[in-house]
Amino acid sequence: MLVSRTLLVTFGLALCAGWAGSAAAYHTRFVADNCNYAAPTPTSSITRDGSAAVALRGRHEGYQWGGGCWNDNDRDDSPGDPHENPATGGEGGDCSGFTFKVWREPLDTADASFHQWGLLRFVHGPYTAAAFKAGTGAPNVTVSKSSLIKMDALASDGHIGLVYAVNPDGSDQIIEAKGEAYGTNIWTRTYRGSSSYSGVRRVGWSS
Amino acid sequence: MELLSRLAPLPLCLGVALALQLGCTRDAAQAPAILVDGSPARPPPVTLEGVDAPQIATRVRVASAGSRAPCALAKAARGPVVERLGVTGASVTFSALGRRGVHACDATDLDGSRIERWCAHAFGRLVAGRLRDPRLSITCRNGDDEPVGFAWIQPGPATAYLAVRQQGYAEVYTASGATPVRVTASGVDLSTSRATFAISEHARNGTLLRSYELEARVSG
Repeated sequence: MLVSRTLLVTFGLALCAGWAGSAAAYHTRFVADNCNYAAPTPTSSITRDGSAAVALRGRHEGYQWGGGCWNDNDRDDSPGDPHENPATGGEGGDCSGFTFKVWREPLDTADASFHQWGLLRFVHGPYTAAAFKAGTGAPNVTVSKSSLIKMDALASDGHIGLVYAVNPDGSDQIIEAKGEAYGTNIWTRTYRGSSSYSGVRRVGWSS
Repeated sequence: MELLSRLAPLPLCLGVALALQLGCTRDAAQAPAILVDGSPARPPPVTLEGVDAPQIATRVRVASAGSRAPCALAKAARGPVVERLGVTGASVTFSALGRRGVHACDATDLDGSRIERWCAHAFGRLVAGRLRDPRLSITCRNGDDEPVGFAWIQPGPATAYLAVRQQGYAEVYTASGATPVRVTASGVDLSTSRATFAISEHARNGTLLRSYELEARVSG
């Protein structure tokens, strides 16, 4: 009994220490002040161009490891957040959270339907880049890299980016949440030629 | 009549007593008897201090790379392949050639057939031998269609056993140095893509070294 009480106290102290640690490390109030947990709106399937329009609203909006909430003012409202710390509460998605939201996926991995998430809805979704790469979840399938077209994705174990356009030289314009130092934007990339990257497609586009 | 009125509360009392008894019985029944592959659940070799719930030892097997790969991704393994079997989940942890990191395949017994279904893959970068993130996966589900979370824990150097609290029992994992241990938890919040792991670390004789809650988030 004494031991269990000791354990309970230890857990409590650890929990408080964790909270205190989070509070001390808290870097920005972007998520706390702006984001919500509203339910998504189930929607009929959208076109690839429609998805690209969703992606473009995230352009220039920053990057947050484990994040998934941004506005549309074309600037990072929480620049310089510590790297790979999901608790800093900054603006933007990370690569997989950005993809999840742009592809309008549901939280239920067995469901391939389309869900519209508000820009300020904080949601990351259940997939990491590695999970997308493996084609995990009903909405996602792996496809050959040669068949990739607009709004398909190239995913490695640690990153995923969306094909925005294909350049004449075979490289791609990729829209991606790249990192805290880079934010979210469109860059020319050669992921398609890298053996670390695989092709991934969201199923169900209307065109 | 007076006797009857005196006896009237008796069924209620008996009912309460029965309910309490059933409650106890149910609590006891919550400790699972088998692991995910159908093999018998056994206690760890030592009793772990401070773990009130029934303690169930997970099984670990270390295979060399090149032997039968438990999941397709493990075919690329270089070095040992560590398989862990728990009550609701199984996992494989390995390193791959040319990558400074560890991979995992995660599995659950989705349909009660005792056949592992690989339902998640994780990759964690190692920086100076430490993972920067527990690399939570939440895409697996158990037979009740509830999400099952997997994450790596890096125990302290003196830790011989890790205990992870589950509902009604605790899963016990053997640890070796700071090698990441892939553990399972049922406390998954799909709406926020997070899972909470209640963990305690123990010395070889079972002494409690430390306990803490790890809140992991899907990221990257």
